[in-house]
Amino acid sequence: MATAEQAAHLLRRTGFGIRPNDVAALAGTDIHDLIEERIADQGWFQSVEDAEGREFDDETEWDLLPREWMERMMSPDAGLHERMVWFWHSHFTTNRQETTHLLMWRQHQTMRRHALGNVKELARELLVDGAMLHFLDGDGSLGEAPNENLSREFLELFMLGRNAGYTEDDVRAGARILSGWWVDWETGEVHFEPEQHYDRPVTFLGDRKRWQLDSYIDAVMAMPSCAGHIAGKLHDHLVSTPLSAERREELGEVLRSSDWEIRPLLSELLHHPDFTEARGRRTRQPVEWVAAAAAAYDLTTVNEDGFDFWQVQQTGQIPFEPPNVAGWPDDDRWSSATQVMARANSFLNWEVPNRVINSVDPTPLAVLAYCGIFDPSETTVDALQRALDAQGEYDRGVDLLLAMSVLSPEFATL
Amino acid sequence: MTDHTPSWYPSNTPDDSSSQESPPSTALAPLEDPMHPPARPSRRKFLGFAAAGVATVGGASFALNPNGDALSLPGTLPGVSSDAPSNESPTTTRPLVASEDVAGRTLVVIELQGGNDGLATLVPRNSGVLYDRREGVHIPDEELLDFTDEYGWNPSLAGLSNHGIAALVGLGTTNNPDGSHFEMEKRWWAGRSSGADLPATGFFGRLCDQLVTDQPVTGVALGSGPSPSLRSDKAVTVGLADPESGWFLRNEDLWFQNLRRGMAAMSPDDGSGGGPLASARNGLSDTLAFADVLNEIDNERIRDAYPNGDLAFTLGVAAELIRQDAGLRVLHLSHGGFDTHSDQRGSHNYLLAQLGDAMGAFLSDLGSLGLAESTLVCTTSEFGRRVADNRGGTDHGAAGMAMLAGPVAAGVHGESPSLTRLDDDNLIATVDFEEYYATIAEKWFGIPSSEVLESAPAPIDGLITA
Repeated sequence: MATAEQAAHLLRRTGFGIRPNDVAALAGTDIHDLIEERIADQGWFQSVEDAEGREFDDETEWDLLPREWMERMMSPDAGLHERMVWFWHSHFTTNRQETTHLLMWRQHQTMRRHALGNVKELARELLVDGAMLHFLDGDGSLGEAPNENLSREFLELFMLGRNAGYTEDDVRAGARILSGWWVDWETGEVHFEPEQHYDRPVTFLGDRKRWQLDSYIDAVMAMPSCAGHIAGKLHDHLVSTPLSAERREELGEVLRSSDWEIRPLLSELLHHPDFTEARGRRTRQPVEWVAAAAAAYDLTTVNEDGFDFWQVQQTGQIPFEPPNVAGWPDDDRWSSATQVMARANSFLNWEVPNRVINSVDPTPLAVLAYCGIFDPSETTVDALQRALDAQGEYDRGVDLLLAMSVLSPEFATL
Repeated sequence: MTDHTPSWYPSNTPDDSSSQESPPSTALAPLEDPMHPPARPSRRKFLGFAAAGVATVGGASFALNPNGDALSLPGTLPGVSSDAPSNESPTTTRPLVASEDVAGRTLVVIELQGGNDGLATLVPRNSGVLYDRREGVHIPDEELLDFTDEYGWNPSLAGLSNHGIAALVGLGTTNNPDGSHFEMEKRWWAGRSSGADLPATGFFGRLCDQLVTDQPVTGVALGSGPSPSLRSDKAVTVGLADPESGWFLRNEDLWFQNLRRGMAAMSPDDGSGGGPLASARNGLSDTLAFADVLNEIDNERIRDAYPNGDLAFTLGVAAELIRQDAGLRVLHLSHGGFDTHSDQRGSHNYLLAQLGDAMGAFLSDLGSLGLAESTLVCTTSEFGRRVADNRGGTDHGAAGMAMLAGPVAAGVHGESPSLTRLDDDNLIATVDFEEYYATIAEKWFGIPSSEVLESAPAPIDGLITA
């Protein structure tokens, strides 16, 4: 039987914000059943046709895409699927400043479609994704003088890891294989120009032949380092305990043997004792923090109740704007004074809706649990109790408990 | 505010702090009002720059002087430290500034956002090319403020007349320049002139990483929230969007007092635990510690000593922060609006007047606070603008210029870019901005450029005189 804290840990790590009744509904269920339920999440995505009728031109509100995504993350429905979309975005990075709204939106839907599906299919689609081709200069890369950016980052960051079994010559050869692709800035159409592709035999990863996209992907993903690299990144994101070389191998093998299906790997990660031990071992990134805090305040819409998109910008992390191709750093810098300042500066402007005031007992434990914290430190509970005693329940005491809960060290971690 | 102090928080004013009783060991320690922590000993022992070798200033190094008379050398130049013991890193053989000399030095960066027109800021004299090609924006010789034989300042900068200013001309990227604000801002922020493999940290953030002390905050961005240029690995850098930032740290309402006390109580400095939870506790206590600094800002003094305007006020805040000697080493400010595609003369002159007046007041203020020799002021801008004008404005260009004040050799530095041999109508940079950054790192802070810039460029000699 799952304790409330076990269930809360699962929800925090495999979603964004815990809504107050979520945990109560789950306590007492078998934790392994809960994990399988999370993994079965079907998620939400739109097809290319769904974009029809939407405005994706220069007039589009600049913050439309990140704002829409924030609202998805804040939604009570946001589960493991949404979490995986966030993971893939910080893995297969693209910065919207380098492409168009339409192409960024399309890439986002591609990630949504494959977020819990198959790594190979996802990687294959992203390799010739318009936004990716823009971001990593695959757009217009000519066979005779190919741009190496996409080839390099695909091997180094996305698939294998730095110096993991490939050479600089492989980077150059890969660039030839990936040449010949164009993206139309106006329509977003991606097309292949056979005459501009390097169409002669190329030696890549020890094999000399004429390559196509499929054989390129096959060869990269057949590298011994590939599965462990990707599985290890997912371990860091979801579990975040130190990863031994053996465990990395083990996780890679799960991914390989399932023919790159993601769900068996998730199952291996989440049922493992490491996952339970990892409570509080990861720092919430700003976007994760904002989504969780919004859930605690029961906010579902950006730009209401004092919650404005610029507040997200103040945290220094904006969806679709990773600082570089390696994505956002994932460490404890996200709980530094910079963050506390940005959070308190803006989020203390939030109005606490009456529905929240009405539905939570004015005690530290109740309000902390309301924010998804079921195993707080004594220090934090004492601090809240003293603050409540000093403030008095009837003088915005619950508001104070709520503000302290989201600013608490526990809330800054996962 | 002690009237409101609830009994469970012992008051901590100097008068009665000695009377506090220790709590029983089983209870939590008494909670200190984070707004009035015990005095922190100043760590910045300012070493006077004794007259050990006054720098020789080149013939072209005059103080900016609008009347052309009494060309003066900048007041007192601090000692040159090239004979001083160096703290060389294995990767550089250049002498660095001695570490005792750099203790307490502060850098103030003013980012001129939008791409400042260098040719209309520090104007080349007697240039037929400029009269011909940028008639709509060019400032005629007779209007210029005297500077050197080759250059005169835009008259809107008269506020800097009494200060020794160094100009670095031909400044840009020598590495595949780009016309996009986004692209060039990113390169300048990251300190990567080529734009390839941008690091996740910013150049000024990496400086802060090298300068970190046990004080809570090392870098601060004023006026625009967090600046990507201050992204750091280990140093704490804080963005204050406006003078109201940190309002929750100053609000005297009982609710906010209790919130602050609660934040302090949640982040005891008892070294307990480790990992992310401990880091999060540090984040809270660092924030509260920074509150002390914010609370010492004397707005009235700023209003008296500075002209009106956002930039002036923000520089006043900067002076107030530096004066407190609280560990801040890099302050970053933004002055926006330099994307002068149209009506340049009006808007650009206005922006430069704001800059000159604000900076002039700041430099005078630093002088009166005794901080003139420990504070370096410098400007950045993502690019300069085209040589040719375009219907009263100018389009995005390449090379521009930077201004420096403080312990600098007044005058023009760098090689003037050719006004006729152009790259796609753009000035070709003669100095890469990474060299400029290397100069700040090595000559001001004594940090080898290899520690903060991957290409480890050599610094420019003779620019910074401290």
